[in-house]
Amino acid sequence: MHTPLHILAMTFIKCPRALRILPGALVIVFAQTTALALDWTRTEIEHRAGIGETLPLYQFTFKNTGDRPVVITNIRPSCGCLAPMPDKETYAPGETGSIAVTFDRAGLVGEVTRTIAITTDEKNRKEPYQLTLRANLPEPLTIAPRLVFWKSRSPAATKSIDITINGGGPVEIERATSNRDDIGAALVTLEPGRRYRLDITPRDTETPRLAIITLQPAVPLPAGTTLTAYAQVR
Amino acid sequence: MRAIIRQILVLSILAAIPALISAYIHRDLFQTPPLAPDETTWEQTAAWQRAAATRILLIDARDDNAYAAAHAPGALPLNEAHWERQLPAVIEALGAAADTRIVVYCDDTLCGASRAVAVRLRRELGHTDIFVLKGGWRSR
Repeated sequence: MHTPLHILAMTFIKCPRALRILPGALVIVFAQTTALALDWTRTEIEHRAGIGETLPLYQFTFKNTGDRPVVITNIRPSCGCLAPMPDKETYAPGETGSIAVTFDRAGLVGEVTRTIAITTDEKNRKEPYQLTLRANLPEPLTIAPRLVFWKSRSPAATKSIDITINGGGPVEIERATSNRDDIGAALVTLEPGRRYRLDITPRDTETPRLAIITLQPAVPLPAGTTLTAYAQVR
Repeated sequence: MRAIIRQILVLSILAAIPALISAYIHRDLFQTPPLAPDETTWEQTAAWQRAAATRILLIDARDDNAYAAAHAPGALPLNEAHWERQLPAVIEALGAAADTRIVVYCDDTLCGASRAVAVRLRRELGHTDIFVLKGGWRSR
């Protein structure tokens, strides 16, 4: 049985002038080995969410521009917070499709980048397609830094943590409480409803210990809002 | 006989041309990507642990079920879904030694949770000696 390559080779041997088509054949081979079947409308989505907002359903759409059906063999999100769902498994040439992604923001804050790796049965593609979701998930307030510490037997000097209310209306912080008597926390109002400072002072630095300082806002904030800071003698 | 050998040679050359082109295009198949400055491996982590100059704190960034099923000896769970609940134990562990190097791992190379946890630990705790374990749990 003659393979196409065999037939091609025999053609070249019997008719050397056929070698003239070789450059064109190589271009075709090159194009075959570099072509991507799935042409994505976009592979990155950026979203700036509101405070406490539930994130919408994100859609990544594509078209199979190849000449063979493409099967999505695996979809791998970079975290458990993403739930990607293709509208089907196999896409015929010329067919369009989409990956719908739900994004659970629980526990996530700030600039968050998450990816989804899409693996297909395309022979000439080693790496999966990579889809990226960039979300800005603002916190109602920022505590920076969240941890202050003293090395054991170092001076028990006061250290400060800044509290900034982000966007929206002002949020009054009524008080800050430490869960330990031997590490004190004093709340200083810099700009009512906007900026505060926590001054934290350990009674001594003889014994390693950890204090959790909890902020008490005057009004309830969205679930999951960070309201704790840490002070440690280590 | 000579004609057959010539045909075999021509066939081999013709087959080699697209193969070489394909190999060149997909040359990354034959190369191991280098480690980024903040990446490490299980072998390197084990060497750090043996050297004992710096204490190594392993952080498991996978979800709670994966951690409960199996995890590296001494590793603490810390994932973003349960950040506030799990963070105090990590801070306690950081305080147990003067110099601690954190190594974060998740499932495998496609898992981005370890990098996300490393970024957040740097931002929230100001701890800079943090590495991400390339290849993750599955590369052990």
